[in-house]
Amino acid sequence: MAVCASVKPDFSKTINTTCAYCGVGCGITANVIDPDLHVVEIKGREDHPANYGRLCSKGSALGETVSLEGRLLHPKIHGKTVVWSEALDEVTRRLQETIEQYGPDAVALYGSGQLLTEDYYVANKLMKGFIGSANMDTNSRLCMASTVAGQKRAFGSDTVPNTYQDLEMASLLILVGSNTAWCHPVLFQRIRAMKEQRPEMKVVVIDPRKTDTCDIADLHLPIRPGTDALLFNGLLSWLAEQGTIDLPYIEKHTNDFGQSLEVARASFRDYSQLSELCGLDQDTVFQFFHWFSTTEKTVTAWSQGVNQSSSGTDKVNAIINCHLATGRIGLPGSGPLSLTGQPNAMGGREVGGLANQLAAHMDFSPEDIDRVGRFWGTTNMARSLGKTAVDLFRAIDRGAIRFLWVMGTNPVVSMPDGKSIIKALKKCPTVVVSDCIEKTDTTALAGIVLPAAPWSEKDGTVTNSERRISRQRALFQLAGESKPDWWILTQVAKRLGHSDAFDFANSADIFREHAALSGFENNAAGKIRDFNIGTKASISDHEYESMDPFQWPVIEDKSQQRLFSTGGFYTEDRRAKFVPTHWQKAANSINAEYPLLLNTGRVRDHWHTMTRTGLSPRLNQHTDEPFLAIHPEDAGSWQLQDQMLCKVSSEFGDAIVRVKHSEAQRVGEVFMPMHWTRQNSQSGFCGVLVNPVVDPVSKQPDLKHTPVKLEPFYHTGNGVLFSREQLSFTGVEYVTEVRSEQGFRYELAGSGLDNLSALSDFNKRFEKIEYVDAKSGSQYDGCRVLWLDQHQVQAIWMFGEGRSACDRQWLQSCFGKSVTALEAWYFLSGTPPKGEDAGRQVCACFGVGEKTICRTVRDNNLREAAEVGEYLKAGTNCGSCVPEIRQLIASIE
Amino acid sequence: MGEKPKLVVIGNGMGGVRLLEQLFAKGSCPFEVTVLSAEDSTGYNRIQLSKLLAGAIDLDGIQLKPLQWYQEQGIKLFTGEDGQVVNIDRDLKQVSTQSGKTFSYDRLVLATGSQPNRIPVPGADLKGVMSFRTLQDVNRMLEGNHQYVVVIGGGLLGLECASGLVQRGMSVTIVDNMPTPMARQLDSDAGLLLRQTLESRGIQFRSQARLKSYDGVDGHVCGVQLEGDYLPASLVIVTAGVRPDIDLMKACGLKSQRGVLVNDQLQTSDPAIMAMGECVEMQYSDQSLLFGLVAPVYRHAEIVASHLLGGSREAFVPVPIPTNLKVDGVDVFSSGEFNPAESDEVSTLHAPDSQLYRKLVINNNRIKGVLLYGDVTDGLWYQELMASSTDISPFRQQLLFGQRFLPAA
Repeated sequence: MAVCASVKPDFSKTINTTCAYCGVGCGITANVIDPDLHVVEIKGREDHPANYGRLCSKGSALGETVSLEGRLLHPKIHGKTVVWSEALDEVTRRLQETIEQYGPDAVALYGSGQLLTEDYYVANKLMKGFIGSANMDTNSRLCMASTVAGQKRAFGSDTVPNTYQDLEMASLLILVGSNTAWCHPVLFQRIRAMKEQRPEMKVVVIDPRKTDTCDIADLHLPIRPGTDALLFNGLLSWLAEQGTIDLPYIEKHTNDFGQSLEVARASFRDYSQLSELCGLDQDTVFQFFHWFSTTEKTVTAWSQGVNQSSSGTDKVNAIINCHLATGRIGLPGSGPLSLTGQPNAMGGREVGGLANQLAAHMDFSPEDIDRVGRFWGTTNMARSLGKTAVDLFRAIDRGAIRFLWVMGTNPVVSMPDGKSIIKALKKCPTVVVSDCIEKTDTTALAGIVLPAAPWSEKDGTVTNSERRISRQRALFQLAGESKPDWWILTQVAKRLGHSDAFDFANSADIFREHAALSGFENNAAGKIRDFNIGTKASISDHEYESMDPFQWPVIEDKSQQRLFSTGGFYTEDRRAKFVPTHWQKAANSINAEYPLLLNTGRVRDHWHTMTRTGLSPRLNQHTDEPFLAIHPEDAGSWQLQDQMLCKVSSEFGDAIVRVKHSEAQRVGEVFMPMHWTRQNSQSGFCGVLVNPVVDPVSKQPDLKHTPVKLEPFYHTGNGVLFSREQLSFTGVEYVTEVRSEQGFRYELAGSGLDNLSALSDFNKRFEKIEYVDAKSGSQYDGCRVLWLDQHQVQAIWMFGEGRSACDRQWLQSCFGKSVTALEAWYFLSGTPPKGEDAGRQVCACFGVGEKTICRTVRDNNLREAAEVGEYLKAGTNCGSCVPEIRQLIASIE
Repeated sequence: MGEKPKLVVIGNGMGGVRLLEQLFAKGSCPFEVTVLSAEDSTGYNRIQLSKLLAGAIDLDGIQLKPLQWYQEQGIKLFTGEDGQVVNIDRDLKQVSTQSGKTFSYDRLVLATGSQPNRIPVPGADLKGVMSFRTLQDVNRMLEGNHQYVVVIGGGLLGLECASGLVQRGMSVTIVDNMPTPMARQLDSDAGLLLRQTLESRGIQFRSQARLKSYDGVDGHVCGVQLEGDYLPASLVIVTAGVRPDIDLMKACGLKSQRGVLVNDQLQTSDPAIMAMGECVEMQYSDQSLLFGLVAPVYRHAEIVASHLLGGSREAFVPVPIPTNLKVDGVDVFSSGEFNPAESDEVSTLHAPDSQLYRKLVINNNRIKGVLLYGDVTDGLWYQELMASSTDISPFRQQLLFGQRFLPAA
């Protein structure tokens, strides 16, 4: 077996790397304290252009997520641990058999924006160059496919024309479908800081929800979901009417303006009708139009609210049309800027990791296929588009795809119509999953699992939303038998007989080849392509190791910060294309049976399917349970009280979640977070509900627009169990697991709570302290039990109707104390004595609770979030909680 | 200076002495006071007899007032046969004692206390079968070299007696007809905890036992025959409750039932005679009250004194008195109806391995009964909530954990 020969990290010093989470791509300086115990101190890297030292709550807590807990450390076949050679032989054998019997299109790879560019490159090369199928798609399909498609339609290439600095330089910043405050917190902090410096800078937030991002908004447009393209059609018409378009730019650098304007105008009758269709107040719409038309330095930044839509690509083009029409593109403080969701969605796009891309920003034209084939030295090139995510899993279901290899992602949770994904995977003859976590909803359905290196152990590059390529470096040596994804892939490639093409000794080797391909025949004689880092093809291992972050394209050794301000698009005639955007209603609209619209998204302190953030007690405190946010008016008509459980049903499935009344919701629309899975919840995941409708161009699923209905979830009991040990429950309808400092917390509801086997087990092993409050009529109003052993609380069970009003944080803290039985029995009160209750944690960085903040604000008559920071430090590190602190101040005033 | 009216007090127990204190509280007293006591000593704290038995305290430590005090106040104290009243002549307003002395009175106060119950089984007259009521009883228990002792009765007195004797090195078994000890003050859960504690200190229990007879040799007890069991014993202490000591009252024709009948001002059917303490039975609205705890008896003393001194006509109002005591070092607090009725609601906090237990009986959002065992913090707060009939529903969730857990007002 070949030995992984990646450069061994030097543990004696601090290591500069890149954050594992969102597409901002913040630089991190990691001070490895104990490489064996995986103890590391994480700080923002002061000289990284993405964050200049800042970090958000998630990034700050990375050190809490790198333990070996829950790690997949050995290859396994059907649950049995095997050596690498056996696992790789088995994967290869099945791959060969599948190809021989059913052809290359019966094979699919499904990757992830969490893979490094080098991993991605090898996967893509193997699939599209040597297996000979383009069935390589990734979870970026769920994330940025609409932007990719929109940018390609307009620019001829998937190019982000602007840079983060422009967010700060803009006089008008429009955030569309982006809860930047939570999803790209460091950019939000940069914007906030600039707005404080330049109060004349205007921020417009276009989002159906009044998110925390609205904290800095001068104008919020609570738009009806699915009508963004219509709004920007309206804006284009307005700009033309006001004469604030840039005719010289349009004439010199673009095509099809007239046709697009005509289509835009035809999509609404008048501005009053347009406002009504968008669910907006007409004055608000005019205010927005007026600001756009009169502000030269305008940046429009967008995220999943735009992309995850059945009209996502049109939304992107409707936005870009307005920027092309005003010539506001690629200029300092002016241009369209897509904010990517994942740390390396951009890197994946660069290597061609999507099924409709070939490689290095080349597609499936005969010339491109020929060029890439010559570069790779293969004759087995994929010749047509592969299956995109939703279609890919459907093809598995019908038996057309029989071999699936999932890398670093959890489609059972993240894909729409989750039940159909499970059904498909159960049918699929071979499911291979490479992951760093042993138990996920997807590994549960895999015959072969391969231990891939996690963030803290892998080495390569990632690209952020502003085309900046940064090094990600290993903090620790590979744990157990884990290996980098690229190594696993090359081992299979070699077994398939492609040793020469996959003879990579380390990630630098791969990077050089990737760079070389980007520059290969990238000239007027071939075809000029935007993605070009060809000059990096000859860097040494040492240069790669010490490579500083840079933006592509690199032309004549110079990074290009901005593109397109003077044209030079990557179309045949180098002119941008206005894309007519015929506005249509969202594919799936509400109806009598499913009268509410379900939106989905992130919460502040969790990432994707929580395999990492769920390990951090700190991060679990901000939002600890899956929930359904609903406007109080709707809640009233559905008889849903705050904090009760409710069953959410769509045509595709059901979920049970906690009701959260929220004035931030539009009436008629509800919201659920996307993070919870079967590993930490019995019924609180939203993927099973979401409709599998996709955008016709980008094939990106419409994750934010599913008609649902609600009903109260009536149940016999409701309780919360704190335990030092991890537990599992069967026959309980509602279970949510929350990691805490000293163990686990389980929120439980449904039947069988009076007969939990975990409790009788505790009874046998530990001293039992019991509180019972029996009311006449009902058996128990409350029953609380604490188990004690060796002066340590072992478990606490709070059973009662409704969400028990116990102070979870306080009870969790009780596990850290050495106590007598008399001290311990007071814990059963569920709330601390006197005024020590800190309340729900607001500031995750300094662990400051809501009640502490409110007390401090009241006692000292504070008016500003910064003042709270002076007293409590809250909000002074990552600042993510500043909007909440402001809301608390406002609520007190 | 005219002659003072004569006041005769029969009884020099804790109630009687408290009455004297009240009468002389302001230095002088408008009566010529005579105190007659059948016991040989001056008044002592009967509650502390257990400690004396256990050797934790000496005789001086339990004395209420020294003889000198009586002399200084001019109180005539007669004890033993001189003080043991055998007859009250209400017509002559005169009492006579065993030794033949007679005392006239203008006002008479009866504070005769109570007599321990006996259990009428064969052998009850044997030597070594005795009660635990007086200083003399304590002395008798400690005389002789008893190795095996049986205590009949698992009430507070029986437990304290057994505990004292165990500490004196004797092997003690408590025979009780109830399933758990102190059934009046504790429910079965708390009783079980107490039994475990006492067993761990060497006291043995025969619960739900039926006493058949005391066996004797040469007129002295040698064992206790139970149904299905036999316990050898050279000393048998019977703690089977007490009854008001009203032989004198009955004989002189004062209206009596279980005790001598008094109104809420402690007046008997004879205007010249008042009665107080454990010997009385008070008709109070539709209830008939007897008194066994020291607090209401002290209240009796105050009322009687106020009447004798011609002050305000105070009347007795019964208030639930909590049991708030230590049983062999274990804190116990109980009050009200702690054994729930069908319609009651019960809150409990139970840590049996650590000998902690807490219980509230609630009805219509009011506390009806309290029982605290092992830790009695907040007992008085519950008592107050119960006495004031406070609606506890606003803090029901925190109630059992005590006042400091209440949400801030």
